[in-house]
Amino acid sequence: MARTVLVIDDEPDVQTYLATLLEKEGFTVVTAGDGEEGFTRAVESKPDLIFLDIMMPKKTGIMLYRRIRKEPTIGAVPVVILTGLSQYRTFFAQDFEQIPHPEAFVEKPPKPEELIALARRLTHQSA
Amino acid sequence: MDQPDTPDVDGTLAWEVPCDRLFDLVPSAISVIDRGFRIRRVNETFRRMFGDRVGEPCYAVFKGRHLRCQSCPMARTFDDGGIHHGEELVDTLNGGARKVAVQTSPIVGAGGRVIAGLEVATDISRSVEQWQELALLGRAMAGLAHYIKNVLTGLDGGVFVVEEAFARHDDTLLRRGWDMVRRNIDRVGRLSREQLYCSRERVPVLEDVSPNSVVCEAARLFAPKVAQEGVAFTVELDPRVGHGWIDPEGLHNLVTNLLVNALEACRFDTGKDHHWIAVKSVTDSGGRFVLEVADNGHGIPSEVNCRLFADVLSTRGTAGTGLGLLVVYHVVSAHRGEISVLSEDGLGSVFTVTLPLQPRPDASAGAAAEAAGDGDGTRPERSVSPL
Repeated sequence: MARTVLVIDDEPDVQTYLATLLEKEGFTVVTAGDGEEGFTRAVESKPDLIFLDIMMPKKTGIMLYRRIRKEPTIGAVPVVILTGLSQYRTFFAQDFEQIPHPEAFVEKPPKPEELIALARRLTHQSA
Repeated sequence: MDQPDTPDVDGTLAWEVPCDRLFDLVPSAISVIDRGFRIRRVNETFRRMFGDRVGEPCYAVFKGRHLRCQSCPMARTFDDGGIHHGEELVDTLNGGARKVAVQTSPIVGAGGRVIAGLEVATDISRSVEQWQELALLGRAMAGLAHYIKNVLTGLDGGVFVVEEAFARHDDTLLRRGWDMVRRNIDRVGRLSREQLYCSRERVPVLEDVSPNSVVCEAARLFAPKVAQEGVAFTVELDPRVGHGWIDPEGLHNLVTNLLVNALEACRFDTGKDHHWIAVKSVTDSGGRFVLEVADNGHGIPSEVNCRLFADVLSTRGTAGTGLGLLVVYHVVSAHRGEISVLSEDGLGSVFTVTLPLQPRPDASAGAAAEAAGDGDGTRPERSVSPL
């Protein structure tokens, strides 16, 4: 059965890129462009994996992450953070205090083969 | 100590120069100030910077004040007999306001009492400008890296989608992929243009225009983006602003970059439900063009060193290249203008740019280049913008 991946990024180009890449590898992809839409889609689709852009307007990337972790129906879904910042571990250290950390950070631009390997591993899907 | 054996200008050896002459040769402004804060003696550099103001209070000479300055290194020297330092903004005869590094030291009388003070003031204005520019550049690099990564992601993605579209024979997907490629190539172009400003390769091209018309055009082009974000946008341009010789492309870039920063500040502000950006222009009492771009976005965090020209967290946004404020700085410098920012964390910011409306340049290329120069003594050739 195809695994569902939710891609949340305010850049439409990133949504298109990841959606095309993941669909080619057999995943079902749902996209969202901001925190509010992202939460709605997450609750509706109950994805197997979430790719989340952390740098969205009004801090909604971080706020959404916290909200997802606190929501019982989706709190355990693996989350991969997408970021353009090299120093993300330092930059976001305070934001991830006292909540479970994301399963992985991926620095933009992502390497397609690494992204797919990560998606397969986190959704327990063989190649 | 070995004596120098190189003669000075008039043929005498250095150690034979009288102390008075050495006093005058020092390139810093030296003054002897009595305990009543009156200037008793000055050197030649002081006279060139401030005039022959012996007998006047130091605070009147340096700052045009009627009362003593509250934080005065000379007062501290009189109190404790120690050497003290400070940085001051002083009014000079011909150079206007200048930033100086001040050192005060005690002059002790026979009884061991401090009877006067020696003040040495060194003009550091150019160093401060260079330091500000370096600091801006450093911050810009962080934002730049973020911007480039987003562009690379867009380009990688566009190429991938195009290739996938070919494999699937999907014209709709092909169009989407191609649009991604084009969009991000445009962003590379923008980055390249802004880098040209920052590297000073682009020479300002002065034209006789109304700065209001340039501001109006930049605001008009930016308005749809502001509307898209649900931010209120007002533009009030004083019709009494006249024409002047300015670099319209530079000014257009300046306005656009200030608007990008304002919009990003609003987009990333979580403290308010409603945001606004306001653009205003007036002419000041000196006939200079004054432009204000204000917003009620997140403001500048208080921990940021506010001696810097400005620091908007461009890493938070995707619209700016990270070079935006550096571009603004260069355009202002090229016009020999001024820029200031008033900001409060959580409340918003006001950027104020003041540009002299240059008089018509002389027909000679040299005079025109001088007017368009960036203050570092270079004389670029006037040319049509390569962009």
